[in-house]
Amino acid sequence: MPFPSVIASSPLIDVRVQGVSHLWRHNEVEHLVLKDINLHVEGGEFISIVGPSGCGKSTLLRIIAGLQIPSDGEVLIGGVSVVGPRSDVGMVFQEASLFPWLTAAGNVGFGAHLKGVPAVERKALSLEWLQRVGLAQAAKLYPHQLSGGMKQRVAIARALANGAQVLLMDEPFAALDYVARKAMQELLIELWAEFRKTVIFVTHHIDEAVLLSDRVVMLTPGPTASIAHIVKIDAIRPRSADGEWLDSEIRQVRLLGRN
Amino acid sequence: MNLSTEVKQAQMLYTIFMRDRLSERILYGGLSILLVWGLWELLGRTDLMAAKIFPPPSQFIQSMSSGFKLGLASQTTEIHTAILASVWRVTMGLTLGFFASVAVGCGLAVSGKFRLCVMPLLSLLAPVAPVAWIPLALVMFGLGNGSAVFIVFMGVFFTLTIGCVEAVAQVSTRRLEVAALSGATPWQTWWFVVVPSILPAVFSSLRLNFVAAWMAVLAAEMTGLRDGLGAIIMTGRNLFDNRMILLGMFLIGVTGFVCDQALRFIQRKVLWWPSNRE
Repeated sequence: MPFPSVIASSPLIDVRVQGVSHLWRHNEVEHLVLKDINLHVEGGEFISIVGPSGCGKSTLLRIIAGLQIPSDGEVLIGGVSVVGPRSDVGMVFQEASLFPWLTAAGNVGFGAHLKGVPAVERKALSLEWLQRVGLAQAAKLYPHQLSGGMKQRVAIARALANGAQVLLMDEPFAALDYVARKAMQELLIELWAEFRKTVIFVTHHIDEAVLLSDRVVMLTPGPTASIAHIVKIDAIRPRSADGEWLDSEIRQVRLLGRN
Repeated sequence: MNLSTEVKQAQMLYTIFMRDRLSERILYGGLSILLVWGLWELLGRTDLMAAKIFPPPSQFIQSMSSGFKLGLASQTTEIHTAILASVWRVTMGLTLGFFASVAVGCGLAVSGKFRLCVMPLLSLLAPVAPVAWIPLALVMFGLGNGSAVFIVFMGVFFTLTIGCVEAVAQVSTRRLEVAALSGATPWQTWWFVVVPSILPAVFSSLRLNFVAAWMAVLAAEMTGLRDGLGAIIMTGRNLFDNRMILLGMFLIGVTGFVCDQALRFIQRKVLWWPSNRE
């Protein structure tokens, strides 16, 4: 590393989803959104969850994040039951959801600010993470001055600066154009290779899931989602986004999805 | 209505409101003010009755020059103290009203049942115009700044508090989730996320209510208080001095405009972010 890093290295944390079912009540009618989901994500593994829109992918992710309590079952992160949001679990949403009154650096350092980290250290931390996501020059800009892709970079930096060991991503690149999307995928692969976070990535693009992941979890189509298949993607890393391997893997996964 | 007509209408509105560039606005605005002024001065040179009732600026602004005092005998004051008195009153009232309504509004937003009890009361009190508080204020606080500040405060407090409760309800869940994921305690969520989210909305309703508050202060100065810009007009009336009346009106216009521009500046440079978007 060219300079002493303020980013501390930390142990890998696994995620275990045990028998999670979720009922959603709406106008006195109960919908079973998730049915008996069992999933073990190893520490440092990159896993994608794919399925058609509205199949409950986001609900599952929110349950893992502790933003929603499942009707049944539980989630263990690093062996500890999830009862609410925790600092080693970060989340990136489809919209960057940055605070418009804070600069990029301010948004990245928000968690540190809440923890009472002194301003100098906080600044160093946010600058270093912004540098890692390729936004060192944008530290003083406000969200409305950033493009969609830049905002998502800030959102990723924010989650990582908060000390996330588990990174939950809910269709984070869905609102980006093709070029920005490709760039973000590359960035994510780079970051993951360097920092080895446990990543759970929700998307409805199978190609994206195959390109990024160690395993792809396919959910059954709604209204009640359960795990249909788990596909292991064996292609060696670093992977190229335009190789033949990708096409054949995607074809296989698609075929599975049809059955 | 199909899409293209909607687009056309939107473009029309856009051209009406946005086309005017600052340089053009200043040029044409300045020209029209000069024109009205010029006509007024011409009218003032004639023998018409109107010239007596509406003495032109050259006559009433002159009376502002050195040594001019307002009021009678022992109550005389200089003109800048009158301006400062009015501005100070409205500023104090608005500032207190703003902070109190943000505090009370946030308090109400957290307390479910209490809010249900209090909101109808606020909704009944909000339409009571600032001017309507003048008699009570004079009884309670006498002929002093206290009355004026009270009038402004009461005039904006209820509306702003209701606005604040509504703004809190509209803070996006996503922002609160981001706060929770960043490890914010409930108190930190309020202070660092909810309050910054609602401030722009509450402030813009403060600016909307400024005009009513400003008028109420002037009315109070005309009816009860002995100083301030409103008092200039009443002194002029009592002395049958139309120059003084018009001077008062002129100063009220200019000062009110400057105050509104100051609020606009705060709105655009200090609390500039949108309440519910990035």
